[in-house]
Amino acid sequence: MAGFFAMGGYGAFVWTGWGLTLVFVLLLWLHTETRLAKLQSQLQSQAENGKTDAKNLPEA
Amino acid sequence: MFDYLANPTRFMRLADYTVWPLRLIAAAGLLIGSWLGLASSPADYQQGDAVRLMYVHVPSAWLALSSYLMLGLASLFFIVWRHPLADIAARAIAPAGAGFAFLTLVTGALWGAPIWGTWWVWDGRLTSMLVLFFFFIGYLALANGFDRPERGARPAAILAMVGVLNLPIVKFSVDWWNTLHQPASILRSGGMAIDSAMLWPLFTMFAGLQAFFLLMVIQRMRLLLGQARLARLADQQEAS
Repeated sequence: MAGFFAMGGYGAFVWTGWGLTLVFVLLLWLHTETRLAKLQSQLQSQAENGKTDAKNLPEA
Repeated sequence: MFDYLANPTRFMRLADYTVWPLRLIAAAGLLIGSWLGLASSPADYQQGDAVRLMYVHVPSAWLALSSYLMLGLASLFFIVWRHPLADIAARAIAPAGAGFAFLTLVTGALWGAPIWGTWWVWDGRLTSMLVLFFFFIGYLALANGFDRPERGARPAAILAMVGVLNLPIVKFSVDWWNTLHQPASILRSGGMAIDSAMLWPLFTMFAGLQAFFLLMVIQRMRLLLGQARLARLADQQEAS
């Protein structure tokens, strides 16, 4: 196991490179999906508000 | 086909079906690819375990190049046909593309330091890759640098199209100038020059990152379309 992490002496380079790739993927994925989920719930509540507003409006 | 897909609602309905398959391919590709690349594949006879950086460096570079080509094409469609969906596609491509260009430079430096003995040289490949990264950054700055995003759309699209001229320089730099960076091993005439024990982890990581990239483009397009819709709804409610 120690040998696996040492990577034949190249551990610092290999793990930093893979780690940065993983961090980039996870951060962009999380950022995009959470913002999308939040926006969709906002749109949902906007649509519901719009409906109630439309009911109170006089007929055009 | 373009006419059919140019309708945002129709495009997004089709895109909906791709979200879960892409999530699964991305997760499986990255998990299996990491196991293949870090554990089960052999060390190189010259480079030892440092060769494992290839499995993140090379797919990142392919994605940086192909995503820039997509950015340039979307920008061309936007300039020629003025379709807002093309602008939205370009805006959705740029953040992930910039990230992959950045990862290419950083993982390349981390690979170069122990194997070449230097983090950086101003050779054709490295320099043109840095220029590609700057084009992504310039695009993002122009597209998002205005109070009203639509004002930045045209200048950003023109910059993106100019940057396409850099793509053949990146691709062929290793043939034109023979310096530290090695020439192509996969996409070259005369067949692939890599053993299958290293090709599988490479392709699996590429498949995972490619699926991740497409997922990000689709989700960000939905995000941008939704934000535009929310702004329109707010305007309507203010007006009523």
